[in-house]
Amino acid sequence: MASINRRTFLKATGGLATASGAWWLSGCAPAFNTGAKKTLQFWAFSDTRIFWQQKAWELYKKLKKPDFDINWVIFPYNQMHDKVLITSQAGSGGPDIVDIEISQFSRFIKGDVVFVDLGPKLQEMGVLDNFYRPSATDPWTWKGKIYGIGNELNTCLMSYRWDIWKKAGVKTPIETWDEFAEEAKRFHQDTGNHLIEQMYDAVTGGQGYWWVMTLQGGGGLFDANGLPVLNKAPSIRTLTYQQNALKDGWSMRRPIGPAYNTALSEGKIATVLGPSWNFSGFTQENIPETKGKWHLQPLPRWTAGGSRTATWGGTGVSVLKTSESVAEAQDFVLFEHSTPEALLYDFAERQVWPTYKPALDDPRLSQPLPFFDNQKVGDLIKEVSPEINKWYNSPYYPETNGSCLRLGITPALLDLKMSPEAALNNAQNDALDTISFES
Amino acid sequence: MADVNIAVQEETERSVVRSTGDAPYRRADFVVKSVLINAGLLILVLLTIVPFLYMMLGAFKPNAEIFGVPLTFFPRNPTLDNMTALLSKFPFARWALNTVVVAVVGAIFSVLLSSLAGFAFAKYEFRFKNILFMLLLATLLIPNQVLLVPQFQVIRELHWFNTYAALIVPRAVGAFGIFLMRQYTVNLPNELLDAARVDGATEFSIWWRIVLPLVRPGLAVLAILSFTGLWNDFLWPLIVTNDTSMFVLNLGLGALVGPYDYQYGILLSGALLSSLPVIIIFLIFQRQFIDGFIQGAFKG
Amino acid sequence: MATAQARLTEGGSRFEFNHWWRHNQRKFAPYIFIAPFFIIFLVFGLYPIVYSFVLSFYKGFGFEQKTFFGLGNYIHLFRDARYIKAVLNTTEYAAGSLFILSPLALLVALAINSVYVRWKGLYKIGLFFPVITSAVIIAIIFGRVLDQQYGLLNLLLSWFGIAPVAWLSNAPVVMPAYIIMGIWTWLGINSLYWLAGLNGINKEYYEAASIDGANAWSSFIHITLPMLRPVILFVVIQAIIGSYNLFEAPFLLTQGGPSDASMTLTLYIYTQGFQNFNVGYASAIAYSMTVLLLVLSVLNIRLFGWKAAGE
Repeated sequence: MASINRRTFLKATGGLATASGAWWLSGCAPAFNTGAKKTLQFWAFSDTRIFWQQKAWELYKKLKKPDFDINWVIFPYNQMHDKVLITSQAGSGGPDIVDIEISQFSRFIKGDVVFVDLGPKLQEMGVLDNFYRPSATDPWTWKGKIYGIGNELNTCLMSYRWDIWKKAGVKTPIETWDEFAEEAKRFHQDTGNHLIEQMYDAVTGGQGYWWVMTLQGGGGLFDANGLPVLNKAPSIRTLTYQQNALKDGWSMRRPIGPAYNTALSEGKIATVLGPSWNFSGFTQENIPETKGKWHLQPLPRWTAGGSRTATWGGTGVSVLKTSESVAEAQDFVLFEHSTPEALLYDFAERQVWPTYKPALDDPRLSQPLPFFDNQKVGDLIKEVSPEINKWYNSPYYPETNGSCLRLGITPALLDLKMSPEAALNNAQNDALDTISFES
Repeated sequence: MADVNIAVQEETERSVVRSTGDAPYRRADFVVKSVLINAGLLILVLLTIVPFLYMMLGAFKPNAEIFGVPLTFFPRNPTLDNMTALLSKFPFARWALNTVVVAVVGAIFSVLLSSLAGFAFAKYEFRFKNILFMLLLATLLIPNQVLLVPQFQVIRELHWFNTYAALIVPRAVGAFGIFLMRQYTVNLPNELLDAARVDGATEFSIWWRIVLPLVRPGLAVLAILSFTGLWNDFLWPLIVTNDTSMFVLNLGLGALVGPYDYQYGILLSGALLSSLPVIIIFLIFQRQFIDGFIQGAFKG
Repeated sequence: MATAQARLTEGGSRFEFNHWWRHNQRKFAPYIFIAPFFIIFLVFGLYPIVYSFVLSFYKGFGFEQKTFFGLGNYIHLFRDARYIKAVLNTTEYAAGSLFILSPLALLVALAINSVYVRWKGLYKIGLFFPVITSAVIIAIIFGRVLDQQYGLLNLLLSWFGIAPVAWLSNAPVVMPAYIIMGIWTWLGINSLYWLAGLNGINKEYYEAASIDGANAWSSFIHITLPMLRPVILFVVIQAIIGSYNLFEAPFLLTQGGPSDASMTLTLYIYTQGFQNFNVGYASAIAYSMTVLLLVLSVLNIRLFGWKAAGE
């Protein structure tokens, strides 16, 4: 009797312990931030980008006195987007607000979209028409719904070390890419340095320069139907130009990691292409000692009468449907993108021109900028922005981008004997293959 | 016994040393070989340990020094900034807690479940015994990777994302655990168990009071392997946890690694603090650890 | 009266149950003992294995959209350049394990086992550290070792006059870089496996051989190696299986690049399954890996003898 009772007792307590343990464990997802306020999680992948948003948050707190708080978390670029996608599949967990980079957005529109449609609220606020839609909302729009909003007007320019160019006698301004190649050859012969480097794979930053020059030349990644156009003429022309740059020796492949910053700082690479987050944000963050040594000019044309600019990248902000505080999140996100004072923080920090027109007209945006030797950059931006060629997004951005990098750009720039046309043909076929396989 | 020595050398040439004559020649020869071999091994040990030390010392260097030329080994300007930044900007303490909970509870769970089931397979006859055993055997052939996607789906159905349960339960059972415990239990004398039954003990108490103490070595092996495995796991937590407050140490560290190197000081200090507990436990329980890994491998 | 009777019956049925349990617990206990294990095993082991297999015949994004695809996923494997690259890379890594790491570990074991070495414990412990370290931390450490500019490895090479190598950004050397990392990680434990094997060889064999006039090399070939057969089989299979698990370092340090030069099978499964959410295809890849491992294991067992496998 006694042993049976003990056994029963043991089993009972064991069972109870396990059951309550399992219950506790299964229910256990304790919030880390204790305290009365609820805290929204904001995920980002770049701390330079959230700088203005954090300032905007301070502004919001002062003006609206919200009953919630925001916690800012930074992940590596790939991991962050992966995790948001996993959240959408999991149906729970994950952040409330997230920075979504332009090329990653397409991953989230294949199934049910996990982002909140910001359209209605924007309409309600009456600000929808005050944005440069192509930069502000189009990259994050799918089937008419606006799933994200961006503040970056990413007009591309060429930023060059005028002190080094002047010393080497490089002609300014440079009108065409052919001219650029000539000057670059001479520069390399005279100084042993490089006028510009070539970006070539995922580790060094990808197809950025190729993209800029191709879009400028009338090409792009997709056609209007969202299908890849990797082997069209403008794409091949750019890649050929880049490969010749390496073959002729006046350019080099971009160094990895901090070595690139050092090269820029020392003038071993003397030019940077891209929009303000690159020529301004990146350089000011990583090589602030070069302040005052840069000038800006429009991109050299491919052909007479061609476009002198492009757009590159951009990050928007989205609110997740899985959030428990959608209204609050939405309120803040739309506030920060439509409040000139908030948007100007990013200008102050990274020289990012805003997509919100009322903000763009602020005279502060056209002041001489000391980092660029007091050049009035704002005027230049306003001048060339209308020349940005139209481009199309697609649900197959990562696949196409991946194929382009892996089979197109990287092989052609690593193996100088590979034909750019052949490489891009490979990339195009691979992309089409992957797309048809998946759908 | 001391007459016959077997000597084996690191170079391909091997010579059997005889005990007869040649004493002075042999001694010099012996010393040379000894020095060479020991030097070789020492170099290997150094090559193994130096990167660890470099990582640990790097935690105390400012970023400029980590990426400076020339490379320094000992910090020239030691700083605690990395540590403080790590502990203040990231919920590191929380990550550590999560890891401890998962590894400890998981190891206990694994040990208990496996030894209980192993006991059943070792000392009982029951219907389905052979079928179930075959089933377990078959699953040994399936690598973990097959389970990733479907286990994710199961967690999804159970709504277990971001919970301790998701991190502990799926990892608590494995064919290896049962086989190991069965091995250790099978050799226990049946008379012992029968005697206990005659005395009126229940089956459960036989397991609890007689079997468990006797298979302690096996429990230790399983516990060590489970604990280390759970502590060092990365891929599974990567998939099932999105909430930064539920991260384990590995995940937290992984989130700090990126092509942007300016976080490196923080990363290295995180790596230092994360690896320290296991290293310390290892140094204290060296023999058990090493035995555990070897035994676990050969018996499994 | 009624209540007392009721109480008697109530106590009686409980008594009956206990009595029945006492007699039969031996028969039913095993089921109860294996229950917790097997319930979890069913939910998280068997069901996923079957579900994954079924899933591999479907395609679509995520778990909801599924269209039946027959053998399509498997057929696509043969045409998928990234898959083939992953298999090749993983095989290259496994080859490094088998043909460099294992023999080196054997040498180390022989050295530690020899009479020339007194501080056996020191070496065993010193070499064992990487085994208990998480792969993430090893990846972090090797991020510093393999760096082109500021890395320890290039520093070491520079002492021998060798120019710095771009370990992590140059396609042909990135897998060798990971092999170096693999050797560093697993040398200790492999040496210990060999040591355990060596200790199991009866010394009398060597005595007999030396009396017969055999030299050390001959003893090695004719005594050591054959007696190590089961250990060889074990080490080989461990090395192969372990190689297929390479994930953390390529994931964190090179993201499978440059241009898939460090894409491993596990990383590719993760890429397809959790970055692209082609869960059906990811399952097919995983099962193809199972088949590969099976084939390799069987080959090895054939090579080293069934008897060795039995021991």
